[in-house]
Amino acid sequence: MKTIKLITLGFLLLGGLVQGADFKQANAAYAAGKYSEAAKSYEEILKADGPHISVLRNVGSAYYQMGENGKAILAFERALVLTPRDPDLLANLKLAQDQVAVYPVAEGSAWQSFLERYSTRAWSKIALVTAMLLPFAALAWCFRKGKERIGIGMFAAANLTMLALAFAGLDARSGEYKRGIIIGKPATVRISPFEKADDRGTLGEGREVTLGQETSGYFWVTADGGRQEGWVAADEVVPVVPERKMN
Amino acid sequence: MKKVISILWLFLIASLHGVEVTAELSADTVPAGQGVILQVTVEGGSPQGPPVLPAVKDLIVNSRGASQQMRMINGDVTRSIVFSFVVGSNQAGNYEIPAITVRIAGKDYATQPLKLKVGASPNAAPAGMDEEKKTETPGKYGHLGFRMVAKDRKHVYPGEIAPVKIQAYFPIDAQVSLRSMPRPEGSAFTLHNLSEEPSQSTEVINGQRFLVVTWFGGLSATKAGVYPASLRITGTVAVRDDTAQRRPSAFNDPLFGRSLLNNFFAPMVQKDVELTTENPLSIEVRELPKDGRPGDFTGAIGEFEFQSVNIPNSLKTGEPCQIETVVKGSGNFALLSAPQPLPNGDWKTYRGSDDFVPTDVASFGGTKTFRYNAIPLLPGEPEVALGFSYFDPEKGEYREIKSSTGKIVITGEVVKSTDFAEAKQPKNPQPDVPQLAPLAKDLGAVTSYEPLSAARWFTPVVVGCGLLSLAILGTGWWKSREVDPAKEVRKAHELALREAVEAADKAVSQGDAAAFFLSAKSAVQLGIAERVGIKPEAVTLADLDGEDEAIADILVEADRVDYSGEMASTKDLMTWKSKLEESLVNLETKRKQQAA
Repeated sequence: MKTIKLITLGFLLLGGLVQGADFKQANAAYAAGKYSEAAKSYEEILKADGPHISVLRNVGSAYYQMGENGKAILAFERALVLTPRDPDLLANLKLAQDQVAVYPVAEGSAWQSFLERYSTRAWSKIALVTAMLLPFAALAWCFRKGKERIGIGMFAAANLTMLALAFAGLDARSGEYKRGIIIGKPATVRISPFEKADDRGTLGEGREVTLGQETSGYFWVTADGGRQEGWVAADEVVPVVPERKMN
Repeated sequence: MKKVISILWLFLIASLHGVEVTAELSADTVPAGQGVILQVTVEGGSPQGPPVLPAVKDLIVNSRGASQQMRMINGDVTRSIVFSFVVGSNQAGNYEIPAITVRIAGKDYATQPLKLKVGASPNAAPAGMDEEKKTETPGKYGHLGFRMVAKDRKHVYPGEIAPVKIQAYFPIDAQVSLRSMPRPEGSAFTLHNLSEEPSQSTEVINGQRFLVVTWFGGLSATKAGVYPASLRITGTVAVRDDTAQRRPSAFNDPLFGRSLLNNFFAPMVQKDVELTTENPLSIEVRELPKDGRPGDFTGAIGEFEFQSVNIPNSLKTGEPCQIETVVKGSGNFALLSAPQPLPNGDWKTYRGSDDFVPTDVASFGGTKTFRYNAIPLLPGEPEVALGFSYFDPEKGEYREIKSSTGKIVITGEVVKSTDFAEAKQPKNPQPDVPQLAPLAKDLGAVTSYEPLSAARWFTPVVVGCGLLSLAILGTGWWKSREVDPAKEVRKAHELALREAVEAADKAVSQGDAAAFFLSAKSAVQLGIAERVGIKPEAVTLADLDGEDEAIADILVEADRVDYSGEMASTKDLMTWKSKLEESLVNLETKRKQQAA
């Protein structure tokens, strides 16, 4: 059993070293102005290793330099799903959006902004930790008497508040699984999910849409708060969260 | 079969009634471009064909079909056929529709003539509308307009930044997302300092309202010649597709057969559009005249003047002083160099710094402040002024501007300009454009888009923790409700003590010394017994070590009264009562201290 663990650990370490080397090579290609080559290398790392914030940031920059602003916006948005407050990513995203005249929707209330400051992962960790602390608080409450209970009560109240906040945060971010970015230049919106169906218009590169069901290689998309709806080919619109789950 | 026979009978009965043909307009007045309903009603007969409306010049008539009605009043059956038409005109005026003839059973029946007044179109352009706008009706997705701010200017000079106004027109109900700022087509012109936040307004052009987006900027020519100043802008425009749900037009005229509801329900069609200036203005780019070009001309074109000049009035040759001057005006400030002290040969000047403060959104007008060092070469008390030159594009001539003069005292010896090293040239400033954040150098850890909350175990764990907490709290509460012997003893003790004190009080009020001391002894014993942890009746004088003397006194007196049967006075009992209360308070205090 120990041998298997050691072998697995060895493979993981080796894989990490290999990806690290690839990452440096991709960065070197970027620095040399070979943006297409760099983007390809970054994409390979992402495919082999999973999402790295650093790789998503760099691949977004590479696409931006190539003029692939839709893909650049997608990469920056994906990185922001993992780390929503990264100022470099936010600045890069704005640059790319400005290039294709995609203006983000005005920010919501301060409460909504606060809830969206943290990623889904962060909120779910907070929810888990606070939930696991609750039984301990309950035990302490039972075993302590008198004034000692005041402190325990305050701790439990704070814990419950954090738990409620975490659930509100998870709820606020529940829509990110339906977010999609147009990478077509532009993407054609059709009335039915097949190529020869009439078009209802186009959606510009980099535009954010809400994804619906996927059928026959087409996504049902909604844009502009429902003013524009239709089917867009799956190679022209990409979910922000790749492993999205449809309701 | 019965139904068919009945209908035939009805038709037969109807045909026996008199024939009547009438015509009616739904309204007498209608705006140009719209229509009214004309109904020709035939009662009591079957027309051989639809009525033929006589032709009237400029009057448009389109059939809307026919309908039949059958009425039965008191057994009389009346059948009527109604032929509907839409009548209107694009030309305002008074129209008379002559009698309309209908042939029924070989006989012609005529209606009365009708009058229709066609008024002006409500969408007509108001009087005095800009002729330029009248002629340029934007297309379905809009168009781009362009004109020079200076009226009647149709020429520019290379290097000049001529202020221009650019307007993009879009349908009022369109959703517009611009992808680029206006850009000149071709290489003859460039646009500078385009306002970053264009203003928005609405305008009515040829009866239609448009959203107008306006930029101001500076047009600069790159080479001499005559070129069309054509601009281009790209964006996404979504407009309602009127053709999608509109009914067939009554007149094959876009103004007819169109209703507000049709427009409202029409779907949006979004297109990537590229708007260009239709009939672009031809602009002549003239060469700057070579004749009369001042020696210090640096390319400034526009209109400039001094706002202020600041030169120290006491100087020494060979020692630098700072000169500060502000020039105001409008034009290509970028090519306006620092005004030099006059006369030129008497000074050695260095390149300094300058600040430009625009006074309009296009940075066309403003003030430019120059600061530079200058060294006087000749001593004396010269009248010094600053000077510069520029080209006036309106007048087409060079102008040399000189500031007001002031006397300056310069001491020292004559020095040569070659005695001073050239000042270092400042580096060219880097373009102030946003850049991408630098690349990430560290690969960092692999993360996952999948949050913990998406894991199958997440919800059971969180819910489980909540339930466990509730269970623990519930158990704790349940346990707290169970009988606690210590609590029970304490309660019983407090009750006994209270009864003993009450009995003592009662004895005092009755003057019963024996009863008082019995109760007092009992109360004191209870107090001591709880603290010491023995039975109350087992408390003796030997257990009073460290206690108040008053307690011992009470116990001794109680024994004495018990054995002697002596009766105490009421006054004495009050004193003993006070002692008892004091003793009990002390005992309670000690008990609490011990418990703590």
